Amino acid sequence: MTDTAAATCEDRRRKIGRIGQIVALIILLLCILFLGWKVLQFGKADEGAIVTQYEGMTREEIQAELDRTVRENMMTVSVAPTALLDENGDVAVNVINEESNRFPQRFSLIQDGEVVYRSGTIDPGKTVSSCHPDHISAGPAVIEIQALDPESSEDHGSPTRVDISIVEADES
Amino acid sequence: MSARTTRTRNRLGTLACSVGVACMLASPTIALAQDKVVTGTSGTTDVTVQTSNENIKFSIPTIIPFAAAGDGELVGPTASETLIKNLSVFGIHVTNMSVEEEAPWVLAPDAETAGRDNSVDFQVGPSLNVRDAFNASQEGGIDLSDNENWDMDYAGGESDSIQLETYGNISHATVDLSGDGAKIATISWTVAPGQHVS
Repeated sequence: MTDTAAATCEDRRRKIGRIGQIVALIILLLCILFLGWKVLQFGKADEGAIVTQYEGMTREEIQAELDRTVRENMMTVSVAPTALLDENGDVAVNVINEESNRFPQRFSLIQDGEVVYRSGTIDPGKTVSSCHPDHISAGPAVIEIQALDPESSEDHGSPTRVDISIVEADES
Repeated sequence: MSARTTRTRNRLGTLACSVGVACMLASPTIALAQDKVVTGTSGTTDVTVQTSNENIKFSIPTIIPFAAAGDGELVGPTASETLIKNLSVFGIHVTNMSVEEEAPWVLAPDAETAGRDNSVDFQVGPSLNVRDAFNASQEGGIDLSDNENWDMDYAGGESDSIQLETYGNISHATVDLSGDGAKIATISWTVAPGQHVS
């Protein structure tokens, strides 16, 4: 084999090797992306009312399991029933996520069917004393409290609403 | 407990709270009274009552689990464990219950006769006023604001909680109910301070 032929073969081998590496990298990247997608899909469902089949358990065992699920998913809600609206547009909602709660919370302030404010995550033991909605007026409103999954921060369980009154601070 | 007794106790509980607040307000109003004309050793004192802005506080289940039996019966948790419990210094009441079905489940008045895949019916509420999820899934939910069975006394009062009975049925289930189970609906409760509106 001449030197030129040998060099050509060598080049060809390197090219094939490089292509092979690139293909292997692409496959590896696809695998990583696929695994990541599967992990994201494997979050807990945001349960509210759920149905499960319990096989091989007595009625008493099933009842105990249902009761345990309820106990472990209780949430304490604490908000001001009368929220003062000051001249700056701040509303004193005093939303408290009790320290004994298992779940972070998020709340929405709703008036006339419109969400005028949505909070970030409130960890157990934390308080949001006031918020600044886009717009609000004195009168009836609703605070909706949503429990969040501690790991994924996705909605956990059913939300709870509280009827409150917005009162202008100088009228209180 | 009779309704009259309950209302009497509620009034006593509210009165106890109001008297406490009135006592705190008595000092400045006595000073005002002294600015008025007072003869002898008697005078007048204005006593005012102001609603305390203590938080409304209660505990509530975020999940109501059911177990499905082979015949389609749904078994719910024990009522004494499934509580809405008032932790406030004043009475509160549930004003609304609304339910939103979770696809592919379909809420029906009667799952057994619904004739559709993944039909479900379930009922939730205190023993004297159990409510149907299908009705609660209609627009606006179920207005409970005038129903005394959804009242709760101030924390520590004799009726400071509501025990929720739960039961129902499913039929033609095609959803896999093993493992963590399946979400069939979201139940949203609305709570307000005070007692029911007669």
